[in-house]
Amino acid sequence: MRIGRRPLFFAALAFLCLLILEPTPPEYRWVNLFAAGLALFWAVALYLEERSLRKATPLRPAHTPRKNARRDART
Amino acid sequence: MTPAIAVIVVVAFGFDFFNGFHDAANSIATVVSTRVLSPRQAVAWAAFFNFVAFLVFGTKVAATIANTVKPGVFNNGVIFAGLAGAIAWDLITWLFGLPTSSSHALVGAMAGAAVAEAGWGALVASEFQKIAVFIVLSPVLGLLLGFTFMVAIYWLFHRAKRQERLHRGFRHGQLFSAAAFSLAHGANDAQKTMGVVFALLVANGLRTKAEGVPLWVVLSAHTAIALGTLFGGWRIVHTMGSKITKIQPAQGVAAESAAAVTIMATTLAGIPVSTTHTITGGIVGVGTTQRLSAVRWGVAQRVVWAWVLTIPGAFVISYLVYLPIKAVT
Repeated sequence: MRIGRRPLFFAALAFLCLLILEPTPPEYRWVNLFAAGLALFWAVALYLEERSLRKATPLRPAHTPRKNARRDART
Repeated sequence: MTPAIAVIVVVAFGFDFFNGFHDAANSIATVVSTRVLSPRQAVAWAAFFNFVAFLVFGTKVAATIANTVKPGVFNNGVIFAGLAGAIAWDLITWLFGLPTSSSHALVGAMAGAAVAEAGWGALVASEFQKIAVFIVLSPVLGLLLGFTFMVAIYWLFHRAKRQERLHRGFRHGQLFSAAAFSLAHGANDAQKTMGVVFALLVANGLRTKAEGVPLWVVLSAHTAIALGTLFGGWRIVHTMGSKITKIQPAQGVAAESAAAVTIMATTLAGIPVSTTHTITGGIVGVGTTQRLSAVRWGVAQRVVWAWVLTIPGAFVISYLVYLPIKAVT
């Protein structure tokens, strides 16, 4: 399973919010949980997006030139 | 009011003025770079909303600042040393080009002077805990909301056919997002100075905590920050001109709205936060919708360094400033 940099970045943000949950005063802990939830949501959404994009454009063997490569580059 | 108190009040409002002076760019950069407003109009727009913030928000942030130190510890010397430490830290970091936050410098400096006066027991741990946690949380929230707002904008308008009209719509939308950010900035940052002046008045028996922050302090703090924005904006207009970073109107709306929502929410909760760090978080969040490499990580790195350096740096300076004052008094 390959995870891109953006999902990992948002997962790290979620981890950071949970890491400082303990020193957060109890009345504000919902802020940490909200931020961690939002970050985790984006981490999962970005991972699914990257996975679906990878599926849609399967990898070619390295030695085969792609058809219409010049036209693709222009677009 | 004795001359000593008057001098400290003037120094406090001077700190507030420079806060507005430094942060003017945060409020007006996007509206100027997208030519929604002329520099002159943008400066006046930001200063106006800095000032009227007192009508919208209470003084809970001021109370938090005043409560960071135990009752009886604050005296004229401690408050003066705290302000001097914060100003000195801001000047040193400005001279050496180091990252900083005026808000964190003020909190760290007040703590340093209070510890020099009465030891570590002078600090109210719960208040510092709250401030320290939100030093990290506010830019993270700005980032997450900036990303969310930008994705929502893409999602809502990706099928729009009349691109020019949409672009114009976002340019005008920036008027509101810049106003909201200036309002939030005025509310949170002006209250930090109000808290210091309020603590000074309480320490000298001119006011009780139950009476709350007097109106003249509220109006003076907002006037000082608005004037700072006005003068800081002029400096930016004259020195930076067209060098202001280019940003798309939709991105400006998303970043400013994210920062405004974060700062307004923390202000209502009575938590002092760095407005500069929060808007930086918002801009990073908006940039992340493109790709991670679209973000200028050097800026984000500076925010992290400011987290690490500012409070201890300002603490040490005000501690050292207060020692000779303590020896004399």
